[in-house]
Amino acid sequence: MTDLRDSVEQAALTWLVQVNDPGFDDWDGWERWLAESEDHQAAYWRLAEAEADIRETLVFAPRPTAKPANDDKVAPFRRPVKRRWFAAGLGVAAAATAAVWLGWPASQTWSVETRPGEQRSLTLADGSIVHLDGATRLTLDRRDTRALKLDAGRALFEVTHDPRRPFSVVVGEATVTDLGTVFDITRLTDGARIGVSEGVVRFDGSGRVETLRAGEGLTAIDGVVSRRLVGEAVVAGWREGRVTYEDERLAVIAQDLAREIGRPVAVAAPLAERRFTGSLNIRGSQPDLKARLELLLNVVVLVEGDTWRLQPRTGA
Amino acid sequence: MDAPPPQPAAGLEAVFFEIRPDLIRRARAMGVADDAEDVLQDVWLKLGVATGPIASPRAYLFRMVYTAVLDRRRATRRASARDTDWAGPHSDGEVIPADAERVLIARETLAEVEARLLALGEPINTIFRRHRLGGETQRTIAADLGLGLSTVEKYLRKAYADLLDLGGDREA
Repeated sequence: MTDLRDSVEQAALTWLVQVNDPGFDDWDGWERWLAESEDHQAAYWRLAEAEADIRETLVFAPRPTAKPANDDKVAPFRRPVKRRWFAAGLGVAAAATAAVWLGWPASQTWSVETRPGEQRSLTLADGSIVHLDGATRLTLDRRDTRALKLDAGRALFEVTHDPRRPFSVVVGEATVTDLGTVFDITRLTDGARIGVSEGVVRFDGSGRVETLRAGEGLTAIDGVVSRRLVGEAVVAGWREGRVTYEDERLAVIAQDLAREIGRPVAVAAPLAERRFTGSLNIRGSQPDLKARLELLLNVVVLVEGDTWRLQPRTGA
Repeated sequence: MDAPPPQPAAGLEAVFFEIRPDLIRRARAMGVADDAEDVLQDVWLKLGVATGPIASPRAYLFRMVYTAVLDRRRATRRASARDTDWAGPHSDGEVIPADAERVLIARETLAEVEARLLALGEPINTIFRRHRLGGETQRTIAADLGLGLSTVEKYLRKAYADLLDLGGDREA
């Protein structure tokens, strides 16, 4: 009996090594072997799942990879109990990969996430395109591919028009519904910001319903909704690192900066009511960016560890 | 998802619809039975996010179904393991929070995986990493290292057998 189980395991191993090759194309042969016996299926999946877990610990390993204590001999290790392979997996500290898939098949939603400074575009099943900024997380719903949630960051939506199926994005406690458009949404720490480049969008939040047309936008901050003009051509400028503001608070600008550079950006209390109108290029080297900000925003940028702190300039 | 979307689908999406019944059949054959439709939905959602040209749409889709089935099985297993293994290998009367325990296990697992790969020596260590982490085919690695294809396969088999605690690397 042991020999038979053993030989099934060996056959499963042979198949697994082949199936994992990106060039594998004998799916029919593999399927025929699986179908021969339930033992084949059980053995195959047990090995495949365990190997995938093992591979995942390597994929998500923090860099640089761990080295044994001595270089000349390998440190001794305990034989692990088999079930521990299954318990390992995504419990490892922060993944370094781009656009991580976060989703359990058992649930109905799945998310896509970008690192700071890393932009990514997704094409949805209906042909709509979503462009994600850095440090952005978008959640999609398997039951309705035109109902999205912007959990963090900023995204530009190019929506294919379908009057039978409205396209909506939940951002915080507000919902933005497309009526055939290109529009931009940012999740802010205390609310949301919307800009419309083409078409018409309905904003529903903070007890108000607003209709926004091309060139219009609004911010909903701490329950206060303010409409503004945004200029259609500049709505998507952030994709090239160009952000445009009209009478905007520094606290909001700081959030856009933080997303790009991947550092917290704080605004000193005396600058809380300072507003800015104009365009900023937020790409390029950090020293250059710092100098540009000081000039254009008329501030001093103090670097305190990880954080950039915007302070007022003292009189010369 | 009963009907194609309003826009004419192109490329991969068109093939997906064309061979969808075959994909469902294959998902069932892989043992997901009632969840086959859900598996296809997972694949469908991720279709639009392909990066780069795809040489063979059918093979690409078959693999996507395979991966979706594998990931679903792994998630189910993890969920039930969490329910039953709360104590973990480190409890001697002390209860450790589940997340900390998972991180501990993951770190130890990684250390052991790394140690085993090093113990397997070269070229097995490098071949395994290039294949499973780098995504290179056995053929490419063989050509690059001046080895026969069956040699590379044998090395990979040895690595798998060791990492999976299997007895030896005898052919079936």
